[in-house]
Amino acid sequence: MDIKAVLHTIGALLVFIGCSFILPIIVSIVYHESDLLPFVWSLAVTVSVGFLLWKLTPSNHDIKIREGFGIVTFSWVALSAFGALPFFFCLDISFTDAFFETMSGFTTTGATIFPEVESLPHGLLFWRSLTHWLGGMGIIVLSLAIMPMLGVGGMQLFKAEAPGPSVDKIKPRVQDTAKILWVVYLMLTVIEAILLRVVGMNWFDAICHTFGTMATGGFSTKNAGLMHYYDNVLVEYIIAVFMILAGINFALHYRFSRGRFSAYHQNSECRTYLGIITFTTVFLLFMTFGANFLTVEESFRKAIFQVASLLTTTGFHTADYEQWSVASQLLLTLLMFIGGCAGSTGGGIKVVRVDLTFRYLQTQFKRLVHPHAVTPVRFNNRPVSNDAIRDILGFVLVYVILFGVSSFLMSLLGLDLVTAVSTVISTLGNIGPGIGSVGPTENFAHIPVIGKWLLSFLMLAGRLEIFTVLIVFSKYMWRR
Amino acid sequence: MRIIIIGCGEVGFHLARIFSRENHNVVVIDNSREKISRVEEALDVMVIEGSGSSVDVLARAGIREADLMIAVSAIDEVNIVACMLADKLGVKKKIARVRNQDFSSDKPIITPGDLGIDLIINPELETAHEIVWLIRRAAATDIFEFADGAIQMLGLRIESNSPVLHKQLLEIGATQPDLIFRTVAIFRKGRTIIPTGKDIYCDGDQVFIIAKTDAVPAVLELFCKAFERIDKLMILGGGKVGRIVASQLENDKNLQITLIESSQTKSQFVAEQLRRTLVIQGDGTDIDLLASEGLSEMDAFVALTDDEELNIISSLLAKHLGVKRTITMVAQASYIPLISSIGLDAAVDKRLITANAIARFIHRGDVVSVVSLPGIDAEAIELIPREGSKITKNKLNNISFPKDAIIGAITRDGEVFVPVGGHQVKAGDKVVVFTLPKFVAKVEKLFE
Repeated sequence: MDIKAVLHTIGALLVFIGCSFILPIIVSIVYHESDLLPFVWSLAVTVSVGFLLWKLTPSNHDIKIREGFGIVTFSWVALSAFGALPFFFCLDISFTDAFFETMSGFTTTGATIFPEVESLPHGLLFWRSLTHWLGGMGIIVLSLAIMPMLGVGGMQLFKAEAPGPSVDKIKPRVQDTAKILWVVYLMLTVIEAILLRVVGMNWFDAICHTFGTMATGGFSTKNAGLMHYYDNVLVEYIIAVFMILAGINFALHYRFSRGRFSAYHQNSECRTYLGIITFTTVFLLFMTFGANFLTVEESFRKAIFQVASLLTTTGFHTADYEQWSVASQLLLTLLMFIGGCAGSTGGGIKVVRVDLTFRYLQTQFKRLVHPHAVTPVRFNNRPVSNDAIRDILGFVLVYVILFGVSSFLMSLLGLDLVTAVSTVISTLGNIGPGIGSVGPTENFAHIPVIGKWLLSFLMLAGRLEIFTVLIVFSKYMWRR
Repeated sequence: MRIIIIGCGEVGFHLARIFSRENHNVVVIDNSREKISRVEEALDVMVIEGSGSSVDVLARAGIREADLMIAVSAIDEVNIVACMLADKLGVKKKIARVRNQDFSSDKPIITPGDLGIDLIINPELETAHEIVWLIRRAAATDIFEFADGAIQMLGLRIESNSPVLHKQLLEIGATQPDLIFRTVAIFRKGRTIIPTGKDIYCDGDQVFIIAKTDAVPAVLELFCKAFERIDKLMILGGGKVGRIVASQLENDKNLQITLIESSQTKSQFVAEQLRRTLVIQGDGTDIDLLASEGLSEMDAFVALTDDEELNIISSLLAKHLGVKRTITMVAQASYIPLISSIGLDAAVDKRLITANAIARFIHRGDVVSVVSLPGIDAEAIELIPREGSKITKNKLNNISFPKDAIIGAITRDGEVFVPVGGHQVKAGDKVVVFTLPKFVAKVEKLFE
């Protein structure tokens, strides 16, 4: 791997993320709060370090596959480290906590170490939510859209960052594709923020919660999260709908907006995704009606919100689902593994991979009866190559292994069984809250320091789809 | 501009690279997954796996928005059908590679127009054309045309007996003030240099010179001690290219041509087709045969079999026996840099020639024409400055032109000249600029 090429690009990205501190600075000026200076310092440090890296490394490098992986992984680590500076400068917390919080933000996990957030200055709260929004569609995809300098190597970076097994190139050129994705993302964000404002949130909360929704993040500006708006049914419905939209491939939103109204229906993955939502919502409606909620409407609302939130890996909650039946809780936990669609902002394994894994298993059964059968797996009415199936099975396997090993490591740190397992699902899937002592009403402050670093690693691995991160530790990456 | 390229072998890949670097929207279609993924990894283009003659595949490639279709798959019929479909669907320009010479002969029964094709390109014809040029300009290693043939760019190797050896570019220019030419690049020890007047010519350099077409013989004379005529020529390989080269050169009455072909039937066929050429049936690696046919007395040796290793080996053999000039056909563009390092003169690659010919056609009379030079890291682009572009606003002296770029020649109202600092570029001129690939965008900006 050409380290200088990697550092050069990371430098440019740091300058870029440093400049984005301007937004929370504006917020903090508006609210006249104590976090102005920490932000200005963070901006100065980040931009100057980035600029030095950028200037001190030669610029004429080719970005090949190896550099692509290196750039994406290391820049996410670097951006989280520098993005943590405001928390570290402004509050009395350890760097571990600040880094955990920022990584949780950029990876759109939404796991927090703050027991309560309402006492935090508005600038910090805004920055917390902004990290979600920037990380949601991908910082590198954003920089591809606005900085043409990444050029030909862009596709490598795009692939390494974009969620899902393959990249849906909407336009022939990477830059145009990145632009379209961000424009669609921005439009949906604007619409949701306006709707939330209309139904009664103030602008600040509306924007922050929109960032949390569209990025499938989950940070809130309220101590009680969205339970704060328990008396506002519309808030719940709006956010539920936008979470579901955020979990769909953005290329489909684009095609839909261009007049291809059958885009959602024609896409196998999207159909499966909506099918899962419908099925689990109905199931939970029956499970919770009477037992937890008094009206069908309330059961439906709580069910669809929790389903959307955990399937898309957002991690908002409007009900304490730990009070629900064990079957309901387990079903919700299974949703956390599945995650959103490829090309969405959601985390998890991704619907397409789960779907194809099941379709593949189906063909295996067929082959037991007809040993000589030729059984192509179809998706979107096209046969899927064996190579693609192999990659997907490989991914699912690595996901499960990483889940098992990490859960064991967490239990070594003294966590109870449920918490050890659920912290790992929740961070690896970029969800946020889990069950046990990190449930929807609790937080991650009590996790030991080593645990926080491990979970930070899992969040990154989950966001960048594991291989991009793991490859950095392999010898193939470093051998000349 | 949306460009659809069908087939991503050597030609398709090369074209896709040229056009994606020019920031066009390129979609590449091929039915080999391997080739597709190679393109996808290397270039910023959209790829689609499938047949280029399938309407469904073309629709997925966005053919309705496409401006240009280039069909260069391995199969003639697929290329033709793809272009016909593109024509029906309203694509403006269609180019097909068709090997079948029935379509490119003088009186075709079906003309390209009948098929809705703007250009039918025949790789063998193009290659033969280039080889004939190289033989007529004996000292050149490469020849490219610009401004519809008014300007040529030559590649030359500086030999140890060259009169310009160890002299500065300025000096050489001063000796022949009337001769219009400019040295635009020097390829030395694997590096491409865009020279200034103070650079000197070294032994073993490959230099690229832009000159008016009618001044080319004089330039050759200046750079090479004796501008040697070729009177005796041996061609190895009686395939399509060899046959066309021989038949075109037969018109030159002073030239004696010997053609060697190993296959009995092929040599029979070639002998029937050609009038003045001596056709020998025999194995090209058989040194005794070549020697007995007088290889050592030949002025030039052209190896054109389908077996590139054989071409290289037999050319080496010819060099060894003292043939002054060899032209070797290779099948992989990546072999071209090797050719000079093992002491051979010129190399041609069918695919690269085809790709360059297509690129030239597309850019004819248009904004940009790009020629990638085989084996060296530089591009010659032909630009037409727009009204009010930066470059037209001031004399060349006062324009900050990128350091690693050089203006080779300007064509204005049919007149060609090599500009100096005092000149000013006008809108509508055809300007040939030579530069390293990364500065192409910078140069283009000046012309917009």
